[in-house]
Amino acid sequence: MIECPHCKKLELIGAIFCRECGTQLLPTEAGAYSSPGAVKKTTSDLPFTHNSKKVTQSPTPNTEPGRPNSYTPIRSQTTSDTQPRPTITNPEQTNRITLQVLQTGELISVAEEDEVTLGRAGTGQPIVPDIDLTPYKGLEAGVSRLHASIRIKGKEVYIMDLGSANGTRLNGDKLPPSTPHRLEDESVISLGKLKLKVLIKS
Amino acid sequence: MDTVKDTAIELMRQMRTDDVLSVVAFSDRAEVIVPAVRRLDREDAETKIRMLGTDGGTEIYRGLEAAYYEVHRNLSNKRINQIILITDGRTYGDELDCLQIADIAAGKGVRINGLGIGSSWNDEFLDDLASRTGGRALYVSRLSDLNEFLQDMFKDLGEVFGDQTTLTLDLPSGVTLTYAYRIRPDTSPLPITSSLKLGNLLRENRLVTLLEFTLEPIFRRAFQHDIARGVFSMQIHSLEPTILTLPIQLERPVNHLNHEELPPNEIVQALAYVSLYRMQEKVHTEIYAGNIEAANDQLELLANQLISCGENELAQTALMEVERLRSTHAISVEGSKQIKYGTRSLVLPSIIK
Repeated sequence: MIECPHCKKLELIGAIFCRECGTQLLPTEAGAYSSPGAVKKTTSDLPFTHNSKKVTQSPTPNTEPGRPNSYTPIRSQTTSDTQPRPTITNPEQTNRITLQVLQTGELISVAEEDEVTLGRAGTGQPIVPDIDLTPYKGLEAGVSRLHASIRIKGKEVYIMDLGSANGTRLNGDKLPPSTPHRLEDESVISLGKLKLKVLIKS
Repeated sequence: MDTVKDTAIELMRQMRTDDVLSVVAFSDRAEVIVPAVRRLDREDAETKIRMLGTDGGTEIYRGLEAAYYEVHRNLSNKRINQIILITDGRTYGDELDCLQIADIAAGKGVRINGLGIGSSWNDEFLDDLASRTGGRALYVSRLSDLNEFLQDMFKDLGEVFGDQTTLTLDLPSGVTLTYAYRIRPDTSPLPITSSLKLGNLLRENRLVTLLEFTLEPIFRRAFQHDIARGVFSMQIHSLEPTILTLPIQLERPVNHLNHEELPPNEIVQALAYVSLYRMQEKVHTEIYAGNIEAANDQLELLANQLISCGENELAQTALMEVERLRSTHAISVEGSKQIKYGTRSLVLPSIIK
């Protein structure tokens, strides 16, 4: 038997992948550890909503020889080692999108990423949101851990509810989960009871 | 329903004069809307399709029986004989009868492909039904995608070089076939039987299937290990239909130097994706066995791997189901289908050249 270096499960000699965690157990003849991650799609090609047809798009195969398996187990992450990227910042900073907490007037700058998730970060959480709303009384307002995401596509900005427990509203209208809705400057989004005004620089 | 009708009419208009098409509608009874005849009156057929409505329940057996009858009475080895079953509902109580028809259809070289729309249909049943005939089931998450799925299926039909491809294997003692997965021309797990139905072979496209064997150790001195012997057969459609058979012998040299022979890169790349599909299979196995915690861990690991390969959408679905599994000890039917058919579709034919 051989032992998976990641999950320690025993596999039969000759096994190429661990059935438990999917880690590759043998290098290829090219010397590379090839994981699905080594055949990465560009995230800009990914559909915003689930579309089984679009999932079948061909990825761009990464054929870099010798590229190691870049697998990083996110379950071992803790809040301390995975700080959310965009946090409260100087309102004068140059990011195009800013969220204003309506109750307090505090400003949250949104990083210029393709997609930014909003929610609450907690200990032992498998994946943390990009913007942690805990400091803005997110827990009390009923914000889920992965509540919604903001996607920037060229000049357009979208919001999508990620199946949150208390829902996401856009200008008072409840959004169905997993469906992107376009945001305008000064749109008001509610994550649970937390109201945020979206400020978009043209 | 309008989308289904529009698509059926569009496909009918693309038919060649030699093609034979039948349309069967089913609820708790079946109705042959367009009978399978040559030289179809297309105007009449279009009018009948336009008048189709929706009512009643979902009794797939009724529809399948009528569809099989239509195919059977026009059965010809000069044509590709195929049933496309489109459903958005779950059939109750007639599954075994449906599977029986599938077995009969497979014996006559009729392939059944399934298209499940939305989340209510029974994916395990439709997978079983299709795979018994060498066909496959597809998940259509949005009705607006149906046209594209059907167009792809019809396009493939026009490119079939051979069908009824079967790999019959005889395994020596100590050898077990543990997993089979078709990679190309489409991706689908294959039920393990002594005769694997591999589906269609398309022109200018290879048929690729991954087989996983478990071999017991051999203690005698040997230079090679016999894995399987058997026959590959298929029907080639040309002017004179022919059954082609090829003897198959699988064996591996025994290495006495105790160093591992590394697997080819392209196989490993394909396996990397198949392993994701198998991880989601394991989630279901654990849930059925009542091991919710193990299922939860497995789903979380799958989400990790999906993130590492850039499948953020699918990873997000998996993570939402992790939360759901934690709180309700079950995963949603929609999430389950998205993960199952999403991971299946990641096993892309382009990986194996």
